[in-house]
Amino acid sequence: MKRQATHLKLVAAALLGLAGTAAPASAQTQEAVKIGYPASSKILLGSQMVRGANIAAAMINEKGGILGGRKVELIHYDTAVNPSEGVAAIQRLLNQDRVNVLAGEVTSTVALAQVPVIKSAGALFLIGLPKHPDLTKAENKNVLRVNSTVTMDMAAFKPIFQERFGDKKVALITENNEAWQEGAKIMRSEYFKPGQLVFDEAYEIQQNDFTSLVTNARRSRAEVLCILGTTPEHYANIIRMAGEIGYRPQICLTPGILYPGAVEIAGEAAEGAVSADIYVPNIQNDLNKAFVAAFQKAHGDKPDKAAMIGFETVWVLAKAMDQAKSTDDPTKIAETIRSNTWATPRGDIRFEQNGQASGKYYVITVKDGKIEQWN
Amino acid sequence: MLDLIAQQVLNGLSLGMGYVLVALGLTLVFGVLHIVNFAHGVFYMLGGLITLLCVTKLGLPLTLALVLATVCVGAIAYLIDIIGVRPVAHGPKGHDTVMLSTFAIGLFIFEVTLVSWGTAPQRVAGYSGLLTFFDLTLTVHRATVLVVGAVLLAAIWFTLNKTKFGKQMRALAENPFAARVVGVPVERVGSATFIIAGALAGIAGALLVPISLFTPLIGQNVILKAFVIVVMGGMGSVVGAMVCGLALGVLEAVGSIYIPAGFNLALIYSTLLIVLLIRPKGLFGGRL
Repeated sequence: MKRQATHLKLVAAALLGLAGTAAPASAQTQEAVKIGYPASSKILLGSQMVRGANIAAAMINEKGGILGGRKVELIHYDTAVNPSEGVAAIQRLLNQDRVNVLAGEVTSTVALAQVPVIKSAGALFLIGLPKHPDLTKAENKNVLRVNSTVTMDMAAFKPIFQERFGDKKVALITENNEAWQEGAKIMRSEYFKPGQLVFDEAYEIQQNDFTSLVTNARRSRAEVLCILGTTPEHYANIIRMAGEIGYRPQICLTPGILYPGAVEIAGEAAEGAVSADIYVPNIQNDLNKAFVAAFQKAHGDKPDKAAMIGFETVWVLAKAMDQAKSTDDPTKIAETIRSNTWATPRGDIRFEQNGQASGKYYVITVKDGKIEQWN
Repeated sequence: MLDLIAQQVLNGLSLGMGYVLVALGLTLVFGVLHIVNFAHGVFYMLGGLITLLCVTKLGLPLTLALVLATVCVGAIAYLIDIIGVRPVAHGPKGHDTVMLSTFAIGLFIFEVTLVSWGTAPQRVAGYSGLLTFFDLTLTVHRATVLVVGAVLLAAIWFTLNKTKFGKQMRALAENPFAARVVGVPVERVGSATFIIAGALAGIAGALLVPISLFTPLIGQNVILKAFVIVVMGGMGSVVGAMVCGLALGVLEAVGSIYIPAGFNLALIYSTLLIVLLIRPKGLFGGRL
């Protein structure tokens, strides 16, 4: 775990410089508004999310900051996909950095360990990528989330799955964590007809060779391979290794996990893969265009969903603090978030009373090695 | 069912050979120099990184990339030997200090790679093609791992048992003081052992990166299993690393038919526990 605030400040400053615009003098003299940003940034999704968060901070600061000219500063600690590291990062942010407004995190396993600590401190946590439904509950007033939950994903994906794959035999491969096991449970009980699910297996994120797993899946003669998992390093490798041994089922990826990097890794075997997501980079609104342009300028590529989630966490938090005219009253800021509509790159979003953001889904597929919207 | 078991045995052998290649250098350094090299995972990662750079950035053929990765990581191991092993190995609590110095150097290289290279996983194309015989399949790349691994094992065995240098290594492993007394160039043999171990980790990373993908984390992921194999086989035993690496690969692959893959690590650690309860020094402990 390592403090990277200085590094983030440099990135934000560089982005400002690239934009060729100087922040107003008031933004340079007043104390910065600090947002704690714990995230497992040594994996692809986490690093993309932190990149998106930095873009949001840079864009806000470029336009003069919040609360009459105060800059937004992120304090990021890596949580190493590890619950104990995740809790240590939260404690450091709360006790050492004196920050009580936090956002970020990548996996549900880590976030589930962090939430009780945040709740007992009375701080605010706008969760980024974790999908476990239990993270946002009505009684956790100060815990909110921008990403969709596994439950939302599964409900949205069911008609897509049934239209695309019908009664075909399915092999289900699930990452062994709380959120995805919950998703697999929903699929088993709601998606399949009797006898349709012919292979049902889990994998660990420590694994990197999946040949034995896909050999067993091939043996089941499943025509559709459905994968529930967070990291492209793993699920894309499963698809690739299936292809390498000559097993070419149709690929179904649960919503929110199909990334361009994964298509590159999986290669031809990912062709025709079907999924859904709450964000695609070509959404037509001014904020998304500005976000995509700033991201491309800084990193040379279009943002993916994880980057948009990172952007959204910081953007919504900063705007809410501005509107609530407070940086240190978590309850007031949380209430402001819940009672307003927020314009973000994916359009307008609202938060339910349990702190969960709403979201529209886009059906996506892999065609000629690119992710496209499926009409 | 027999065909599935046979297929998984074949998968397991190729998986296990990967483990053997990583564990071999680790156990060699412990067996000869009596030190635990915590930078070994980084050597593996660098082997993968150099291969990735050679293939994707320089457009070199994979075979040449494998050779370059092996040589470069061997050279890096030599530098680390000069900077972080030799200066501290002979001091008070030298072996403990080497553990710390190699850990620190490994961490430094890992962080530098992470910052400069990023976290995105990268794919390196392996040898393409699929071999099929009696309904069993094996990718050409995995077959290559098996063949190269077998050749390297034979070369290590030959070096240790049939060459003067091998005798010197064994003498150093047995008793460094006595080896020096009878004229063994202890420093030179020690450095050569460290370089060979580094090169072995380098070629392991280079050979396995088309299977596992490259991320700076790959070294950390494999090193844990490598330590399990080394401890199970007997710290410092080349034969132990070979037998246990292959056995673990086969156990994992065949076990996947009957045991959920989520219990994979539990299977490995319970096997380690059983072995240590029966033979605390490991299955082949005490022999190089």
